[in-house]
Amino acid sequence: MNRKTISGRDLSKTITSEDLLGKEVIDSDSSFIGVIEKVLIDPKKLQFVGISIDKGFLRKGFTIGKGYIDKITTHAVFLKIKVSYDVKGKIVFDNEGFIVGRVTAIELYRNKNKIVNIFVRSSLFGKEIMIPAFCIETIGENVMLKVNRLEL
Amino acid sequence: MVAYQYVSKKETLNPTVNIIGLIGKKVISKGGTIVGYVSEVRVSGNNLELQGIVIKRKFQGPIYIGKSYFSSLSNIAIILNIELNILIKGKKVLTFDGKVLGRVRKVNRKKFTNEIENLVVNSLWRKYLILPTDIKQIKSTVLVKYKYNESKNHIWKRPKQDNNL
Repeated sequence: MNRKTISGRDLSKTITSEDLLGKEVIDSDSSFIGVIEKVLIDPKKLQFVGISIDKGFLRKGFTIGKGYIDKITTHAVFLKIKVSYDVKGKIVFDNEGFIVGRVTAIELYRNKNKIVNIFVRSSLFGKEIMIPAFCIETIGENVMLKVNRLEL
Repeated sequence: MVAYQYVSKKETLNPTVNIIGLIGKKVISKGGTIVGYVSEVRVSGNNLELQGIVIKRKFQGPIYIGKSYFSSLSNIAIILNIELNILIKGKKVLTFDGKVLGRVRKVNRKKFTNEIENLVVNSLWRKYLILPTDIKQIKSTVLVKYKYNESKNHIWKRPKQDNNL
């Protein structure tokens, strides 16, 4: 049955919230982050603001602003960034390959995706070390530092 | 610490690493993946230089890595300057539009180098051969440049009608 629409614009190429909900979210490293559980809309400007992501059972979700969304395809939503929250739990190696510990917490610059500091703990009851972002060489499967553990 | 009496023609001695001490040490890729543990250190019989190492892996075959792929070598671990493409095996393959094509079943490389010649990807029913030119990026999954083509259009899947005024 034909559905009538009243609009000044061509709405044939738009997508609906139903299309987005439940869609997989993939970051710039093409790793699966979660699924979209909410679509966020600004009530005053009536604009799409971002999405809320569900990471799965017992895992805390988060929201992502539309500025970080790269594209919306038929099967997934791609992000422009690698989500900084994903660093949590990764092993941190120094420049010699020594295991410094695991990332327990991160500090971001305001509400952006930029890491300021990471907090690493070597053991369950060990002391927490703060490592500034400029000491990080690469973040891949784990975190590699530019510096030696003795310099931290 | 042992104090040696040095006998060497060179006036300045470069810092060295005990090769025997390397055995059993971790081998870490550029991105921080623990590839395995050193089981052998191979030295050339002609020029007496270090040529490479053999890495022992759990439940998988050993890997020989040439010294050109080493980034740093210490008494704690060997850090590589690459991500090993052999380790792509088993990773998910996504199309440009986010559809999961399948998993990498085989990585064919150019001779013994780390460069990919092609990837064999298997899904439940289909098999794909992906060339390196079609690969956009390899990280935690493999992203290919092309979109997914649905092979079959069912009769009940009618195209959407455009009813906007």
